[in-house]
Amino acid sequence: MFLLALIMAKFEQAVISGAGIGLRSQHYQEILADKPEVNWFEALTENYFGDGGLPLHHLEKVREHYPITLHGVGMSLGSTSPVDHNYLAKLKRLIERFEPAYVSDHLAWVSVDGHFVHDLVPFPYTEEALKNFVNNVMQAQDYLGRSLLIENPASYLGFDCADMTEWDFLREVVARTECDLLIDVNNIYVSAVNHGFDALEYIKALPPERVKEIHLAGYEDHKDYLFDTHGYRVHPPVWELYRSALDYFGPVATLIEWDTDIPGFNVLMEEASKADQLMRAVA
Amino acid sequence: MKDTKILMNVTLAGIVALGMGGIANDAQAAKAGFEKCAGIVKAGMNDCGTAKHDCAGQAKTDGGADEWIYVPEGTCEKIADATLKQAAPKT
Amino acid sequence: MTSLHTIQSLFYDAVFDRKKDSSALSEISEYINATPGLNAQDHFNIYRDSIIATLNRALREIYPVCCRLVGEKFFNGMGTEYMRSHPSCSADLAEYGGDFAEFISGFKHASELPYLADVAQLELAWHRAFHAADESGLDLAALDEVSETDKPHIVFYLPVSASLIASEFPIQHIWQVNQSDFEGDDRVDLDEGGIKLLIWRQDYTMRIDPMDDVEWSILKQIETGHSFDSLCTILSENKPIADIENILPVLVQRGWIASFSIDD
Repeated sequence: MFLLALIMAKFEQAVISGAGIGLRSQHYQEILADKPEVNWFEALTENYFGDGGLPLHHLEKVREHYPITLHGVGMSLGSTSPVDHNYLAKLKRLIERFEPAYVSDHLAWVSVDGHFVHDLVPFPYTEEALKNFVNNVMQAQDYLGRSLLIENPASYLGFDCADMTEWDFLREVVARTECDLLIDVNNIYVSAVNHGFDALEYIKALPPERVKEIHLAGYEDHKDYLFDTHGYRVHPPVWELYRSALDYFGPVATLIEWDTDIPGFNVLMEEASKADQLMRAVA
Repeated sequence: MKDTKILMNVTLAGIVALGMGGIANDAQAAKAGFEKCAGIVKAGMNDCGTAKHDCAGQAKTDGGADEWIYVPEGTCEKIADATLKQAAPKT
Repeated sequence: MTSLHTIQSLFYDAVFDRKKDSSALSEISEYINATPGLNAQDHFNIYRDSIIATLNRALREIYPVCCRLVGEKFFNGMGTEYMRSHPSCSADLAEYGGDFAEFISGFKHASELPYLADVAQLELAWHRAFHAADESGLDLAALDEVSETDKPHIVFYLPVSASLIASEFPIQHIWQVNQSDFEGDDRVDLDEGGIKLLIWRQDYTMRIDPMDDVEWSILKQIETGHSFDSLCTILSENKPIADIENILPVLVQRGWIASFSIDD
């Protein structure tokens, strides 16, 4: 019986594949009524930190029909303060209840001395920052009893005291913590334009076997820089970069994210099927 | 003043009876001098009362705080403040 | 070499400009690279604007009626001043803005809208009820099993989602006409007077229940956490306020009393 439970648990956490869609409250009703053919959904972790009520109820209903992943924005792994245990306890409660295929957060800091900016702020990629980040990832993974996926953010500023590239930093984090990677291809494109680096060089530098998930979204062109609003269809150059990424990484499970001016669910389905087609081409 | 023990038992009996078909009906409510509750009910909305996260940036929508001129431009115009108007001449 | 912590602290101080002298901004700018078309401060401002917009959006989502009453421009200005003095202390945005009503009541530009702080209080209560723990209602069978000796020590509780709010303004009416799906006459006269409310959630249904003074005083007593015997004593001494044997079952039936424990 115990063995069976173990096998079931393993089955429940089966690795996701194909295109998934970011779960947003605007679409709960449609998803639950129509049960559209979607491989998996990604839920924003902190949106389910409440004690009860509709958000958790809806997530439970969605989970009855689909695999999910949990994607966080608040762990603040880049902070110099240790990872907040209260946060980890809430996350662990969600993991136990919803058995997500992956749990991810960002290469960024969102709080300093317990005060939150609720934005994914970059930090200079230095040896000091690396030790700090690695330490925080290890603490979180120890507490949660599972490995995390770390996602590259879109960034709009660089520090002159940085002594390594973002991709070198990520590679080191993976090597030292045994975490995996969530590569946001749109973010690489946005950052490449903003900082003037080669997006393909970034992708080629990453260990393909550690890339477990890809994100795609639509940026906004602010003339002097690109801004990651998740408010558009995926732009053509990002699809192009995605195609190259699939060549290096293989057909990695890919999420369509949309957060600003959220459209009808059919638009997200169209974007997802486009990603699915490209994945099939490299499978 | 009623004996507290009796009061407790009568009250509990009234509450427990709810589970056996709702003795505390309109008649009892009327006896207690209560009107039927006329509250606002709002069922199952997705977004009400929630502040949502995402991992996208927020594009600038307004200037810095110092640039604001504080003139309300909302539905507060629809609220008649007769009391305030009456109080106004005193100042 | 500057430590990571220093950079993060400077960045934070520059965003909210606590000292109102831009000193943190010029310091953090020294660490940031300029790119063609954007200097260091331009780069920083992209984050500052995004952070302020995110916190203002969270406040608008928690206080949509307040925002509608004063308009988004006024509201964002008020929100931006609020966040300067009220840091967010949780990774969960839903926990931000807990003392916004208090801030509004002292905000000089809102002094001509004396009801605004009370509306904010109602909205906070709604927001908290929305996220509160699920509850199944008073366990009548368990209550029936309570022994004679334990009966005096019963403590009744309001729903965990519940807030009691009293205002000298008709905030329920103001709230109601400012719902996006409201149809009808959206004018409110403050002369309608005050109201006493219980804001709570029954399963997944949100409720704003008005009540009279008697109901209010009983619920207030229950909220205080009196044991059953002292509740009976207090309420019967205060006659003609209440016939507890008639009123308590009605309150239970409405769902306003949702659980009990035996106090020891």
